[in-house]
Amino acid sequence: MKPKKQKYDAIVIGVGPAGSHFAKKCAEAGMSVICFDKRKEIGAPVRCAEGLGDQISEYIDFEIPKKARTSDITGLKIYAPNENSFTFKKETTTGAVLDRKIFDKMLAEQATQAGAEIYTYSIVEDIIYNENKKIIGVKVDHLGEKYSVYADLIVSAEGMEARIARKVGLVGPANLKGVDTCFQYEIGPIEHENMIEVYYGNEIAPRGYIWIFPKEKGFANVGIGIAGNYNIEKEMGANPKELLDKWIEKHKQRFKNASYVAVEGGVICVDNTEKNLSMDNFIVIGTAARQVDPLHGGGIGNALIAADIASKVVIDIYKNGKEFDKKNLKKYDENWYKSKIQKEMDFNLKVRKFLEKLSDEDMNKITEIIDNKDIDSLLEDKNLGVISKIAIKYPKIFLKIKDLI
Amino acid sequence: MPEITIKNEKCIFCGGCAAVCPTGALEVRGTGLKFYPEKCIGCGLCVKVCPANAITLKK
Repeated sequence: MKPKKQKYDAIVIGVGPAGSHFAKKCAEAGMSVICFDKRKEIGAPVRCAEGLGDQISEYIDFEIPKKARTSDITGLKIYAPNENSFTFKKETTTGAVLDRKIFDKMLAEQATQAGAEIYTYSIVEDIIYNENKKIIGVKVDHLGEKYSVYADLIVSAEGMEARIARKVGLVGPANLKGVDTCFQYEIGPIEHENMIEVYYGNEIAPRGYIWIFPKEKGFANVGIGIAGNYNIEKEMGANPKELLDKWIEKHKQRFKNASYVAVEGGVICVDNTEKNLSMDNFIVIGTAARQVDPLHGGGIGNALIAADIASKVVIDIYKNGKEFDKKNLKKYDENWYKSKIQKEMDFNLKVRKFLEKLSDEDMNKITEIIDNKDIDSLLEDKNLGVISKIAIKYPKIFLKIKDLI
Repeated sequence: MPEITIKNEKCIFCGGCAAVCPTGALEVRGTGLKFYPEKCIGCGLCVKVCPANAITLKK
Protein backbone atom coordinates (compact mmCIF):
# COMPACT_ATOMS: atom_id res chain seq x y z
CA MET A 1 0.00 0.00 0.00
CA LYS A 2 1.69 3.14 -1.18
CA PRO A 3 0.14 6.61 -1.21
CA LYS A 4 -1.42 7.75 -4.45
CA LYS A 5 0.72 10.87 -4.61
CA GLN A 6 4.10 12.03 -3.37
CA LYS A 7 2.98 15.44 -2.16
CA TYR A 8 -0.12 16.46 -0.17
CA ASP A 9 -1.43 19.62 1.40
CA ALA A 10 -1.43 17.98 4.84
CA ILE A 11 -0.13 14.82 6.51
CA VAL A 12 -1.97 13.67 9.65
CA ILE A 13 -0.16 11.36 12.09
CA GLY A 14 -2.62 9.30 14.13
CA VAL A 15 -6.15 8.28 13.16
CA GLY A 16 -8.02 8.75 16.42
CA PRO A 17 -10.97 11.15 16.77
CA ALA A 18 -8.76 14.26 16.42
CA GLY A 19 -6.91 13.03 13.33
CA SER A 20 -10.04 11.80 11.53
CA HIS A 21 -12.12 14.88 12.28
CA PHE A 22 -9.31 17.19 11.17
CA ALA A 23 -8.74 15.18 7.98
CA LYS A 24 -12.45 15.15 7.17
CA LYS A 25 -12.87 18.90 7.59
CA CYS A 26 -9.79 19.74 5.52
CA ALA A 27 -10.64 17.24 2.78
CA GLU A 28 -14.16 18.64 2.55
CA ALA A 29 -12.62 22.06 2.00
CA GLY A 30 -10.70 20.72 -0.99
CA MET A 31 -7.34 19.99 0.60
CA SER A 32 -5.44 16.81 -0.22
CA VAL A 33 -4.90 14.98 3.06
CA ILE A 34 -3.10 11.74 3.92
CA CYS A 35 -3.26 10.06 7.33
CA PHE A 36 -1.03 7.42 8.89
CA ASP A 37 -1.71 5.27 11.92
CA LYS A 38 0.91 2.98 13.37
CA ARG A 39 -1.65 0.59 14.77
CA LYS A 40 -2.76 -2.52 12.91
CA GLU A 41 -6.35 -1.54 13.36
CA ILE A 42 -7.97 1.84 13.94
CA GLY A 43 -9.63 2.08 17.35
CA ALA A 44 -7.67 -0.75 18.95
CA PRO A 45 -6.35 -1.25 21.54
CA VAL A 46 -8.84 0.74 23.58
CA ARG A 47 -7.09 3.01 26.08
CA CYS A 48 -10.14 4.80 27.30
CA ALA A 49 -13.37 4.60 29.34
CA GLU A 50 -15.20 5.50 26.10
CA GLY A 51 -17.61 8.11 27.47
CA LEU A 52 -18.70 11.10 25.38
CA GLY A 53 -21.35 13.69 26.25
CA ASP A 54 -24.01 14.69 23.73
CA GLN A 55 -23.21 18.35 24.47
CA ILE A 56 -20.34 17.99 21.98
CA SER A 57 -22.86 19.21 19.38
CA GLU A 58 -23.09 22.53 21.27
CA TYR A 59 -19.41 23.15 20.53
CA ILE A 60 -19.02 21.84 17.00
CA ASP A 61 -21.07 20.43 14.16
CA PHE A 62 -20.82 16.82 15.32
CA GLU A 63 -23.21 14.09 16.26
CA ILE A 64 -22.23 10.80 17.86
CA PRO A 65 -22.94 8.08 15.24
CA LYS A 66 -25.77 5.83 16.45
CA LYS A 67 -23.91 2.66 15.57
CA ALA A 68 -21.04 3.62 17.89
CA ARG A 69 -23.27 4.15 20.95
CA THR A 70 -23.31 1.09 23.20
CA SER A 71 -25.58 2.82 25.72
CA ASP A 72 -27.53 5.99 26.33
CA ILE A 73 -26.42 7.62 29.56
CA THR A 74 -29.01 9.53 31.55
CA GLY A 75 -26.99 10.84 34.46
CA LEU A 76 -24.09 10.75 36.84
CA LYS A 77 -23.77 9.34 40.35
CA ILE A 78 -20.89 10.58 42.47
CA TYR A 79 -19.94 8.55 45.52
CA ALA A 80 -18.06 9.87 48.54
CA PRO A 81 -15.67 7.56 50.40
CA ASN A 82 -18.51 6.51 52.75
CA GLU A 83 -20.49 5.66 49.58
CA ASN A 84 -23.10 8.34 50.16
CA SER A 85 -23.92 9.56 46.69
CA PHE A 86 -25.23 12.52 44.71
CA THR A 87 -27.25 11.91 41.62
CA PHE A 88 -27.25 14.24 38.64
CA LYS A 89 -30.11 12.82 36.65
CA LYS A 90 -31.73 14.20 33.53
CA GLU A 91 -34.96 13.23 31.81
CA THR A 92 -33.16 13.00 28.51
CA THR A 93 -30.03 11.25 27.41
CA THR A 94 -26.88 13.15 28.29
CA GLY A 95 -24.28 11.10 26.50
CA ALA A 96 -23.10 7.69 25.46
CA VAL A 97 -20.54 5.09 26.24
CA LEU A 98 -19.01 4.39 22.88
CA ASP A 99 -17.52 1.37 21.26
CA ARG A 100 -14.25 3.07 20.34
CA LYS A 101 -13.42 0.43 17.75
CA ILE A 102 -16.62 1.28 15.89
CA PHE A 103 -16.53 5.02 16.66
CA ASP A 104 -12.95 5.56 15.51
CA LYS A 105 -13.47 3.49 12.38
CA MET A 106 -16.64 5.38 11.47
CA LEU A 107 -14.86 8.70 11.85
CA ALA A 108 -12.03 7.40 9.68
CA GLU A 109 -14.57 6.28 7.07
CA GLN A 110 -16.11 9.75 7.07
CA ALA A 111 -12.68 11.26 6.45
CA THR A 112 -12.12 8.87 3.55
CA GLN A 113 -15.52 9.69 2.08
CA ALA A 114 -14.54 13.35 2.16
CA GLY A 115 -11.48 12.47 0.10
CA ALA A 116 -8.71 11.86 2.65
CA GLU A 117 -6.38 8.85 2.28
CA ILE A 118 -5.76 6.65 5.32
CA TYR A 119 -3.05 4.02 5.84
CA THR A 120 -2.80 1.83 8.95
CA TYR A 121 0.12 -0.22 10.25
CA SER A 122 2.21 2.62 8.84
CA ILE A 123 4.60 4.16 11.30
CA VAL A 124 5.94 7.66 10.74
CA GLU A 125 9.61 7.16 11.52
CA ASP A 126 10.90 10.65 11.13
CA ILE A 127 10.41 14.16 9.85
CA ILE A 128 12.08 15.29 6.62
CA TYR A 129 13.65 18.76 6.67
CA ASN A 130 14.98 20.67 3.65
CA GLU A 131 18.36 22.40 3.55
CA ASN A 132 16.87 25.44 5.34
CA LYS A 133 15.67 23.22 8.25
CA LYS A 134 12.09 23.61 7.11
CA ILE A 135 9.73 20.68 7.74
CA ILE A 136 8.71 19.30 4.33
CA GLY A 137 7.56 15.71 4.86
CA VAL A 138 7.79 12.41 6.72
CA LYS A 139 9.47 9.04 6.36
CA VAL A 140 7.06 6.14 6.67
CA ASP A 141 7.59 2.43 7.35
CA HIS A 142 4.75 0.16 6.30
CA LEU A 143 5.52 -3.51 7.04
CA GLY A 144 9.16 -2.96 6.23
CA GLU A 145 8.44 -0.98 3.09
CA LYS A 146 9.95 2.46 3.52
CA TYR A 147 8.96 5.58 1.63
CA SER A 148 8.80 9.37 1.91
CA VAL A 149 5.75 11.62 1.61
CA TYR A 150 5.79 15.39 1.41
CA ALA A 151 3.34 18.06 2.56
CA ASP A 152 3.06 21.74 3.41
CA LEU A 153 1.66 20.93 6.84
CA ILE A 154 2.25 18.05 9.26
CA VAL A 155 -0.37 17.43 11.96
CA SER A 156 0.40 15.41 15.06
CA ALA A 157 -2.74 13.71 16.40
CA GLU A 158 -0.64 11.03 18.06
CA GLY A 159 -2.26 10.75 21.48
CA MET A 160 -0.31 10.56 24.74
CA GLU A 161 2.90 9.26 23.21
CA ALA A 162 3.22 12.28 20.88
CA ARG A 163 6.38 10.74 19.46
CA ILE A 164 6.85 12.95 16.41
CA ALA A 165 5.53 16.08 18.16
CA ARG A 166 8.25 15.47 20.76
CA LYS A 167 10.85 14.82 18.09
CA VAL A 168 10.25 18.23 16.48
CA GLY A 169 10.39 19.84 19.92
CA LEU A 170 6.82 21.12 20.13
CA VAL A 171 5.75 18.84 22.99
CA GLY A 172 7.71 17.53 25.97
CA PRO A 173 7.46 14.17 27.72
CA ALA A 174 4.51 13.83 30.10
CA ASN A 175 5.52 14.17 33.74
CA LEU A 176 4.38 11.70 36.34
CA LYS A 177 2.64 14.29 38.50
CA GLY A 178 0.64 15.59 35.55
CA VAL A 179 -0.79 12.24 34.47
CA ASP A 180 -3.18 9.69 35.80
CA THR A 181 -2.34 6.06 35.28
CA CYS A 182 -5.45 4.01 34.48
CA PHE A 183 -6.52 0.39 34.42
CA GLN A 184 -9.86 -0.93 33.26
CA TYR A 185 -11.83 -4.10 32.76
CA GLU A 186 -14.86 -4.52 30.57
CA ILE A 187 -17.11 -6.51 32.85
CA GLY A 188 -20.56 -7.98 32.61
CA PRO A 189 -23.27 -8.64 33.32
CA ILE A 190 -23.71 -6.39 36.34
CA GLU A 191 -26.65 -4.29 37.49
CA HIS A 192 -26.54 -0.64 36.55
CA GLU A 193 -28.97 2.21 35.88
CA ASN A 194 -27.44 3.58 32.69
CA MET A 195 -25.75 6.24 34.78
CA ILE A 196 -22.05 6.92 35.02
CA GLU A 197 -20.82 6.05 38.52
CA VAL A 198 -17.79 7.75 39.98
CA TYR A 199 -16.22 6.76 43.31
CA TYR A 200 -13.93 9.17 45.12
CA GLY A 201 -11.58 8.48 48.01
CA ASN A 202 -7.92 8.92 48.80
CA GLU A 203 -7.72 5.35 49.92
CA ILE A 204 -9.50 3.70 46.99
CA ALA A 205 -8.14 5.96 44.22
CA PRO A 206 -5.51 8.54 45.26
CA ARG A 207 -6.17 11.85 43.46
CA GLY A 208 -8.33 10.10 40.88
CA TYR A 209 -11.46 8.00 40.97
CA ILE A 210 -12.95 4.63 40.19
CA TRP A 211 -15.56 4.59 37.44
CA ILE A 212 -18.35 2.44 36.08
CA PHE A 213 -19.32 3.37 32.53
CA PRO A 214 -22.35 1.29 31.52
CA LYS A 215 -22.46 -0.38 28.15
CA GLU A 216 -25.14 -2.58 26.59
CA LYS A 217 -26.62 -5.78 28.08
CA GLY A 218 -25.34 -5.14 31.59
CA PHE A 219 -21.74 -4.79 30.53
CA ALA A 220 -19.65 -1.87 31.71
CA ASN A 221 -16.18 -0.40 31.68
CA VAL A 222 -15.01 -0.58 35.27
CA GLY A 223 -11.78 1.27 35.77
CA ILE A 224 -9.52 3.36 37.91
CA GLY A 225 -7.29 6.36 37.32
CA ILE A 226 -4.81 7.53 39.95
CA ALA A 227 -1.97 10.02 40.21
CA GLY A 228 1.03 8.91 38.16
CA ASN A 229 3.38 9.81 41.00
CA TYR A 230 1.43 7.96 43.70
CA ASN A 231 3.72 5.61 45.68
CA ILE A 232 6.66 6.85 43.66
CA GLU A 233 9.03 5.65 46.37
CA LYS A 234 7.82 2.08 45.93
CA GLU A 235 9.41 -0.17 43.38
CA MET A 236 6.27 -0.73 41.30
CA GLY A 237 4.99 2.83 41.70
CA ALA A 238 1.29 3.71 41.41
CA ASN A 239 -0.08 0.26 40.57
CA PRO A 240 -3.70 1.13 39.70
CA LYS A 241 -4.50 -2.49 38.89
CA GLU A 242 -3.93 -3.56 42.49
CA LEU A 243 -6.27 -0.84 43.81
CA LEU A 244 -8.98 -1.66 41.27
CA ASP A 245 -8.80 -5.38 42.06
CA LYS A 246 -9.09 -4.55 45.75
CA TRP A 247 -12.16 -2.38 45.16
CA ILE A 248 -13.87 -5.00 43.02
CA GLU A 249 -13.16 -7.60 45.70
CA LYS A 250 -14.78 -5.32 48.27
CA HIS A 251 -17.87 -5.05 46.04
CA LYS A 252 -17.82 -8.68 44.93
CA GLN A 253 -21.52 -9.13 45.56
CA ARG A 254 -22.25 -6.79 42.65
CA PHE A 255 -19.77 -8.53 40.38
CA LYS A 256 -20.65 -12.10 41.31
CA ASN A 257 -22.04 -13.03 37.89
CA ALA A 258 -19.60 -11.00 35.89
CA SER A 259 -17.13 -12.12 33.29
CA TYR A 260 -14.13 -10.11 32.23
CA VAL A 261 -14.18 -9.58 28.48
CA ALA A 262 -11.43 -6.98 28.09
CA VAL A 263 -8.39 -5.64 29.94
CA GLU A 264 -7.41 -2.11 29.03
CA GLY A 265 -5.38 0.73 30.38
CA GLY A 266 -3.41 3.83 29.67
CA VAL A 267 -1.88 6.99 30.93
CA ILE A 268 -3.75 10.26 30.54
CA CYS A 269 -2.77 13.87 31.03
CA VAL A 270 -4.70 15.77 33.73
CA ASP A 271 -2.71 18.99 33.67
CA ASN A 272 -2.48 22.11 31.51
CA THR A 273 -2.69 22.08 27.73
CA GLU A 274 0.67 22.42 25.98
CA LYS A 275 1.73 26.05 25.79
CA ASN A 276 2.56 26.01 22.09
CA LEU A 277 0.33 24.16 19.67
CA SER A 278 2.01 25.18 16.44
CA MET A 279 5.32 25.93 14.77
CA ASP A 280 6.41 26.34 11.15
CA ASN A 281 4.60 23.70 9.05
CA PHE A 282 3.56 21.66 12.09
CA ILE A 283 0.67 21.62 14.57
CA VAL A 284 -0.39 19.32 17.38
CA ILE A 285 -4.03 18.48 18.21
CA GLY A 286 -5.93 16.42 20.78
CA THR A 287 -4.36 14.33 23.52
CA ALA A 288 -0.90 14.82 21.99
CA ALA A 289 -1.36 18.52 22.82
CA ARG A 290 -2.64 17.54 26.30
CA GLN A 291 -6.07 18.90 25.36
CA VAL A 292 -7.65 16.59 27.93
CA ASP A 293 -10.03 17.49 30.73
CA PRO A 294 -7.97 17.71 33.92
CA LEU A 295 -10.86 16.77 36.18
CA HIS A 296 -12.27 13.64 34.58
CA GLY A 297 -9.55 12.81 32.08
CA GLY A 298 -12.00 12.83 29.16
CA GLY A 299 -10.24 13.41 25.87
CA ILE A 300 -12.54 12.46 22.98
CA GLY A 301 -14.70 15.60 23.01
CA ASN A 302 -11.76 17.91 23.61
CA ALA A 303 -9.85 16.26 20.76
CA LEU A 304 -12.77 16.75 18.37
CA ILE A 305 -13.13 20.40 19.36
CA ALA A 306 -9.39 21.00 19.01
CA ALA A 307 -9.40 19.37 15.58
CA ASP A 308 -12.33 21.55 14.58
CA ILE A 309 -10.68 24.78 15.74
CA ALA A 310 -7.39 23.84 14.07
CA SER A 311 -9.06 22.81 10.80
CA LYS A 312 -10.82 26.19 10.48
CA VAL A 313 -7.50 28.04 10.75
CA VAL A 314 -5.74 25.64 8.39
CA ILE A 315 -8.53 25.84 5.79
CA ASP A 316 -8.44 29.63 5.96
CA ILE A 317 -4.67 29.66 5.32
CA TYR A 318 -5.09 27.17 2.47
CA LYS A 319 -7.94 29.06 0.78
CA ASN A 320 -6.05 32.33 0.93
CA GLY A 321 -2.98 30.73 -0.58
CA LYS A 322 -0.87 31.67 2.41
CA GLU A 323 2.04 29.81 4.01
CA PHE A 324 1.64 27.33 6.86
CA ASP A 325 4.21 29.22 8.83
CA LYS A 326 4.38 29.88 12.54
CA LYS A 327 2.86 33.32 12.19
CA ASN A 328 -0.27 32.15 10.34
CA LEU A 329 -0.71 28.96 12.36
CA LYS A 330 -0.50 30.91 15.62
CA LYS A 331 -4.16 31.75 15.06
CA TYR A 332 -4.95 28.16 16.05
CA ASP A 333 -3.18 28.63 19.40
CA GLU A 334 -5.06 31.88 19.94
CA ASN A 335 -8.46 30.48 19.02
CA TRP A 336 -7.91 27.45 21.23
CA TYR A 337 -6.81 29.49 24.22
CA LYS A 338 -9.83 31.77 24.03
CA SER A 339 -12.28 28.90 23.46
CA LYS A 340 -15.05 27.95 25.85
CA ILE A 341 -13.59 24.47 26.26
CA GLN A 342 -10.17 25.74 27.40
CA LYS A 343 -11.90 27.99 29.94
CA GLU A 344 -13.81 24.97 31.26
CA MET A 345 -10.58 23.02 31.45
CA ASP A 346 -8.95 25.83 33.46
CA PHE A 347 -11.84 25.70 35.91
CA ASN A 348 -11.80 21.91 36.07
CA LEU A 349 -8.09 21.94 36.84
CA LYS A 350 -8.90 24.11 39.85
CA VAL A 351 -11.62 21.67 40.89
CA ARG A 352 -9.22 18.77 40.57
CA LYS A 353 -6.64 20.56 42.72
CA PHE A 354 -9.36 21.37 45.26
CA LEU A 355 -10.51 17.75 45.43
CA GLU A 356 -6.90 16.74 45.92
CA LYS A 357 -6.78 18.76 49.13
CA LEU A 358 -9.84 17.08 50.64
CA SER A 359 -9.46 14.25 53.09
CA ASP A 360 -11.89 11.35 52.91
CA GLU A 361 -13.52 12.79 56.02
CA ASP A 362 -13.98 16.18 54.29
CA MET A 363 -15.67 14.51 51.34
CA ASN A 364 -17.99 12.55 53.63
CA LYS A 365 -18.92 15.73 55.50
CA ILE A 366 -19.83 17.52 52.29
CA THR A 367 -22.24 14.74 51.37
CA GLU A 368 -23.95 15.20 54.71
CA ILE A 369 -24.81 18.87 54.15
CA ILE A 370 -25.48 19.05 50.43
CA ASP A 371 -28.86 17.88 49.18
CA ASN A 372 -30.42 17.43 45.76
CA LYS A 373 -31.59 21.04 45.66
CA ASP A 374 -27.97 22.10 45.98
CA ILE A 375 -27.10 19.78 43.15
CA ASP A 376 -29.74 21.46 40.99
CA SER A 377 -28.30 24.88 41.72
CA LEU A 378 -24.80 23.57 40.99
CA LEU A 379 -26.10 22.44 37.62
CA GLU A 380 -27.46 25.92 37.02
CA ASP A 381 -24.04 27.35 37.82
CA LYS A 382 -25.24 28.95 41.03
CA ASN A 383 -22.27 27.61 42.96
CA LEU A 384 -22.15 30.32 45.59
CA GLY A 385 -25.14 29.18 47.62
CA VAL A 386 -23.77 25.68 47.91
CA ILE A 387 -20.29 26.88 48.73
CA SER A 388 -21.52 29.25 51.46
CA LYS A 389 -23.46 26.39 53.00
CA ILE A 390 -20.24 24.41 53.28
CA ALA A 391 -18.38 27.51 54.50
CA ILE A 392 -20.75 28.07 57.42
CA LYS A 393 -20.70 24.49 58.59
CA TYR A 394 -17.12 23.54 57.80
CA PRO A 395 -14.85 26.59 57.55
CA LYS A 396 -11.80 24.37 57.16
CA ILE A 397 -13.19 22.88 53.96
CA PHE A 398 -14.12 26.38 52.82
CA LEU A 399 -10.46 27.40 53.04
CA LYS A 400 -9.72 24.70 50.52
CA ILE A 401 -12.69 25.56 48.30
CA LYS A 402 -12.05 29.32 48.05
CA ASP A 403 -9.68 28.95 45.11
CA LEU A 404 -12.69 27.94 43.03
CA ILE A 405 -14.62 31.15 43.52
CA MET B 1 24.26 0.06 31.67
CA PRO B 2 20.73 0.44 33.04
CA GLU B 3 18.24 -1.90 31.58
CA ILE B 4 14.57 -2.58 31.85
CA THR B 5 12.76 -5.84 31.37
CA ILE B 6 9.38 -5.84 29.65
CA LYS B 7 7.06 -8.67 30.50
CA ASN B 8 5.21 -9.09 27.24
CA GLU B 9 2.55 -11.25 28.85
CA LYS B 10 1.56 -8.30 31.06
CA CYS B 11 1.91 -5.42 28.58
CA ILE B 12 -1.39 -3.96 27.35
CA PHE B 13 0.37 -1.75 24.75
CA CYS B 14 -1.08 1.46 26.12
CA GLY B 15 2.10 3.45 25.50
CA GLY B 16 2.00 5.12 28.91
CA CYS B 17 5.67 4.28 29.43
CA ALA B 18 6.56 5.89 26.11
CA ALA B 19 4.60 9.03 27.05
CA VAL B 20 6.65 9.62 30.20
CA CYS B 21 10.03 8.31 29.02
CA PRO B 22 12.25 11.40 28.89
CA THR B 23 14.54 10.03 26.18
CA GLY B 24 12.21 8.17 23.82
CA ALA B 25 13.72 4.81 24.76
CA LEU B 26 10.31 3.12 24.56
CA GLU B 27 7.88 3.01 21.69
CA VAL B 28 4.75 1.06 20.88
CA ARG B 29 5.29 -0.38 17.41
CA GLY B 30 2.71 -2.49 15.68
CA THR B 31 1.65 -5.00 18.29
CA GLY B 32 4.76 -4.81 20.45
CA LEU B 33 6.62 -2.54 22.80
CA LYS B 34 10.06 -1.68 21.49
CA PHE B 35 12.92 -0.80 23.85
CA TYR B 36 16.04 1.04 22.72
CA PRO B 37 18.59 0.25 25.47
CA GLU B 38 21.12 2.75 24.15
CA LYS B 39 18.67 5.57 24.92
CA CYS B 40 17.68 4.36 28.42
CA ILE B 41 18.98 6.41 31.34
CA GLY B 42 17.55 4.06 33.98
CA CYS B 43 15.27 6.67 35.58
CA GLY B 44 12.52 4.10 36.11
CA LEU B 45 9.61 6.46 35.35
CA CYS B 46 8.19 3.85 32.98
CA VAL B 47 8.16 1.31 35.80
CA LYS B 48 6.31 3.68 38.15
CA VAL B 49 3.63 4.71 35.65
CA CYS B 50 2.93 1.39 33.94
CA PRO B 51 -0.69 0.52 34.83
CA ALA B 52 -0.09 -3.17 34.29
CA ASN B 53 3.21 -3.65 36.15
CA ALA B 54 4.76 -4.92 32.95
CA ILE B 55 8.18 -3.27 33.35
CA THR B 56 10.93 -3.85 35.89
CA LEU B 57 14.24 -2.06 36.21
CA LYS B 58 17.52 -3.95 36.49
CA LYS B 59 20.32 -1.92 38.01
